[in-house]
Parts: sequence; structure tokens; C-alpha cells
Amino acid sequence: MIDIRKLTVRLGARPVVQDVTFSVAAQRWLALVGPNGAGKTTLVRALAGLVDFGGSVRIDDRESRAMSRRDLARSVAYVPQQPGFPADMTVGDYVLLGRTPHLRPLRSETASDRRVCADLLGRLGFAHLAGRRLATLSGGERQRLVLARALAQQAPVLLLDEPTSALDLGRRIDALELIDELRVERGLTVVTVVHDLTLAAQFADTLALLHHGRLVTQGAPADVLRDEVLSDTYDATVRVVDDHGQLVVTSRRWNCWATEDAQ
Amino acid sequence: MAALPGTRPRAQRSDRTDPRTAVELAPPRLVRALIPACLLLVAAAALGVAVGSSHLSLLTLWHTVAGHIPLLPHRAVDPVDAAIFWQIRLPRVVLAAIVGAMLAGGGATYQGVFRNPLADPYLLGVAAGGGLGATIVIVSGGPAGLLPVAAFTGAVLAVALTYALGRTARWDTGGGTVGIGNTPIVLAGVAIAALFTAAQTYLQQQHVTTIQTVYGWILGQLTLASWSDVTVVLPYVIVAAVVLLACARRLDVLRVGEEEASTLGIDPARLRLLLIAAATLGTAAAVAVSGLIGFVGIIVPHTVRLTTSSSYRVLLPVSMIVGAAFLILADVAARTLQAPAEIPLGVVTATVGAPFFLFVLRSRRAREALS
Repeated sequence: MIDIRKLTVRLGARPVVQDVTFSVAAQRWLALVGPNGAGKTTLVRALAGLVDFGGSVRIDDRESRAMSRRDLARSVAYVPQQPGFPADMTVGDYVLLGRTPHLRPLRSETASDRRVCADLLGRLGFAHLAGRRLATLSGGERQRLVLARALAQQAPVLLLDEPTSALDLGRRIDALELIDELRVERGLTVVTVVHDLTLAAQFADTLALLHHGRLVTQGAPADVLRDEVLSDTYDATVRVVDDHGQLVVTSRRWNCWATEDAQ
Repeated sequence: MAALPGTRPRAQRSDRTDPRTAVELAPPRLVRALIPACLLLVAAAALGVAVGSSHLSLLTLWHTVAGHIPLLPHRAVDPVDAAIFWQIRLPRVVLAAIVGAMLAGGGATYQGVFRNPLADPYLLGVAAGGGLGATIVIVSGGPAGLLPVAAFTGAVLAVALTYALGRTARWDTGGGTVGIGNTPIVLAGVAIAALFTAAQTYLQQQHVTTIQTVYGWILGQLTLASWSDVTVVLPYVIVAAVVLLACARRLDVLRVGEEEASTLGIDPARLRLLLIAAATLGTAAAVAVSGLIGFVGIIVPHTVRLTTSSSYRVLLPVSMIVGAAFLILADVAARTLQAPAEIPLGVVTATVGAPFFLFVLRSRRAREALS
């Protein structure tokens, strides 16, 4: 599980994340939501150990600051918004990179490392593609492949920064569905940055809404996704509609509803 | 709950490949790439010791070598031939191999560290620093034995300055990234190289009588190669090669970017420092005995990359062997094409290397790899 206390991140003199406190129970899914520039990505990067921060981040009761890079990589797997895909690297080699934190110094992958990766490739639909070059993969395939690499780290915590931003409507659902399956299957604790609130509500157990670097509110989707909260935070006219028990977040041009209501 | 319009069932496990499907992940195919490279090296070395102003037949070579190995049948060899082989040809071939291997390995390493296909071992100022050191000795009429020492010192000094200045440069990496970016180091390298080259050019212009010697050194040569050169360079190059090869897998991790590499447990800044230090010592030692031989560090790693694998675990060792073979062959051309005069080695590596490299670039495999 992840326990964040008074997390503050400054980029230069500017605080980008301020005094954020929340925790994510083991094997749960938390979605970080909020407008552009709210500090979602920075918060995830702090959890991944990529930026210096104030406050405390504990992962499975260990202070993350006190962990070595290698230790942290065995506890937290991180997928950035735009992962690097070396065009001429093969699918198999790419997934094997996920074993890096488990290798003994100066050693190559063992047979068991290769087995872990081979199983993941099979599980994620790359059984016969291990020799393919990354340049030949589609957006959806890349998304699954980077997930395979992250899972090869066998870390209990999975951080995903906008895992679906490059995907079409249908592939988004597929990708999130897959993440959810893997979460249950492997007992992962998942933190994602998601822009699409409707999708976030469908998949995450908890939403944490950030605005100007501060935590506005957190809780179950139905508690966070409320018209007035979202309209304020996003500075837009937002309405949350209940579609057969499914929350759908819609946004309209200014005063659209106001005019309707007046009629 | 009633079925929603447009809903479809959750993706079934059976939609995807059965996890038990056997997927084989083979280890990197190093051996398959090493064999042809080693054959090339042996052939180049044989040619290198055989060809020259006095031709030694392969049979003579065999008897010369076999004479020093117990139990091997051999005939007595003409002592003059033996002396040419042991004292002139062999040290030259060995030195060419060491220098070629170091330049190619250094080039491949820098391309990985800086994730830039244009990086060569001279990127951070080795050439400019070595050139200035050598020029100072030549124009001041210092003893010839001092030249490699000065070139080596100048080269190491230039890179150390580059690293120190680049590391402390203020550079907004745009995300408060832990560690430092590559760009300031590369830019500091450009500045230091310009500064050292300016000093070198000034000295050279002030002493026109020695200009030919200076140019001869700058263009690279192995004319006076001796076993003592080999023993001077070898320790540096061995240490460098061991470090570079030991870091090959980490260079592979770096290919996805510094940030992702660091979330995989790598320390990119420390890896970079280690590799720069090792490559600089090796390259500076090579430059000290052979001058500035260009192009090897670019063309060899790219040719290997395009014909074998882009994984540094294959690329680094194979580049070193192919670089050794390439420089031996270039040196053969340098000393035979205009015999008894010698063409500067740097001129040969570029004239022979460029067309070949363009040919490789136009191959189908290259078009695929670069697409």
C-alpha cells in the first residue's frame, strides 16, 4: 500500500504539489484527476522517485526516500506518458529491460528472468512477436508492451501516467480492462493519472481530485464527481449524468444549461 | 442490471493468447555475430603482416610464428624476414588493432551514453586536447618521447574540463529531474573543443616551420609503431574495454531514456561518468600514439548496428573487433597505395570508409532499421 503524507514538490521556486496527503490500500486502484497543470504528473513522478519532494511517501511501510533506486524499482513500476520506444529494439529485449532491478551486478538475465518475461509476453498477446522491432507496433500494441515491461519488474505498485492518451475509444476500454484484470490477478496497487473522468469512474476504486497542486477532495467516484466541484475545479460547465448506474461526465459550452433552465 | 445499449461483455481471457503458450526468449546472439567479426580480424591481421615494401608469404609467416611455439613443425626463416615480422609489421598491426578497437568501442559507447548517432569518441574534446598537447611539444622542439604524454594529458584535461563545466551548468530539464541532462555536457564539449582548437591553431600559425609535422600528427599515423607503444597503450585500453563491456547491458537500458532507466534502477549520471572516464582514458591513450584518426568511431559502430544487432551487448564487442580489423586494413592501404610514401591514416579511413558506409546505409536492412 501507499501512504503519502504532506507531499510537496517544488520545481524551481514554484510549488507544484502542496501538502498532499492520501493513501491507497493494497490492491486498490486510485485515479488522480484534475485539470491540466494540477500537479498529477508531478505527483506520480515523485512516487516514482524522479523528483525531489518534501513530506513522506511510504510504500509497504518503507520510506521511499530511504530506498535505493534498485529497491524502489522492485517496489514501484512506472510508465510515463510517453515511454521511449527505441525503433530497432525487439519486443523481447524491451520486456527483458523490466528485469533490470532484479539482476545481480554485472550479470545478464538468467533463464528464470527470461521465463518471467516470456510468460508476460504470452499473457499480453505477444506470443509470436518477440522478435518484432518496436517500430512495427501499433499504438495499442505499444501500450500493452510497456505494461508487460512494467510487470516484468514484479513490483507490487504500478504507476501509470495517462495510460490511454494515445488510444482510440475502444482501445482505451481494452487497456483499462487489461490493467484491471492484471491488478486482480497479481494483487497490484495501481495509481493512474486519467484525464477522462467517465473512464476513471468506471475503473478506479478511489478518485483523488487535484487542483493547483492541492488535493481538493478524494473518495469514491460518486463522491468526487459532483457538478459543482468539477465545474469549479475545471472552470467549465460540467454535468455528471447517471446513465444506468454509470456516471458520465459531460461538459458544455458556457451557459448552455443556464439558458435551458431559464426556458 | 439490465444490459446497456452498446455494452459488450468484458474481454475474455480466451481472447488473448493462452499464458501457457510457449514463448522462447533467446539470449542475445553474440556468438553468431562474433564469429564473422573474428574471421575478418584474423584475415586483416594476416594481410597486415604480409603486405609491405618487402612481401612476406603466408608460408613464411607461418614458419616465423610456429618457430616460437613448441612442438609445431617449422622451417628456419630468413632472419631479415623474421625481424621485419617481429619488429616492424607485427607491432604496427597490433597497435592498429588496439587503436581501432578503442575508437570503435568509444564511439559506440558515446552513441549510447548521449543517445546520439552522431557522437564519436572525440565528442567531449579528446581530439582538440590531444592536438593542443602534441602541438605544444612539436613547436617547442621537445623530445619526441614527450609527445604521447603531452597528447594524452591534453586529451584527458579537455574532457575533464568539459565534464566539470557541463555538470555544473544551469540547465532546466523541464521537470525537476533528478540528475543532469546530456545537453549541457555536449555543449560544454563544443566550447572546450573550440577553445583548445583555437589555441592549437594559433600555436601552429606562429611556428610555420613545424606545420607539416603538426599536420602529420593530426591526420593520424602508425609509421613509427613499436612494441613500446603497444605496452604504453594496452593497459589503458584493456581497462577501458573491460569497463565499457561491463556496462553494455546498462547502455541497453539507457536506450529507453534516462528517466525510465532510472525507474528501472539505473543511475544514469553515475553510469555516464563511469563510461566517459573509461572511454576518455582509452581514447586519449590511443590518440597519444596514433594521432587523430577520424571516422572509425562513427562508421564502425553504425555498420555493426545495421548488420548485426542494435543491442549494446552485441554491438560493443563486435564493434571493437571490427574496428580493429578496419584500422589494420586502412593502415595497409595507407602504407601501400603510394609506397614508399605513406598516406595519412585519417585520410584513408575517410576515403575508404565513407563510400562503404554509404553502401551500408543504402542496404534494405538499414532502410528498415532507420525507418
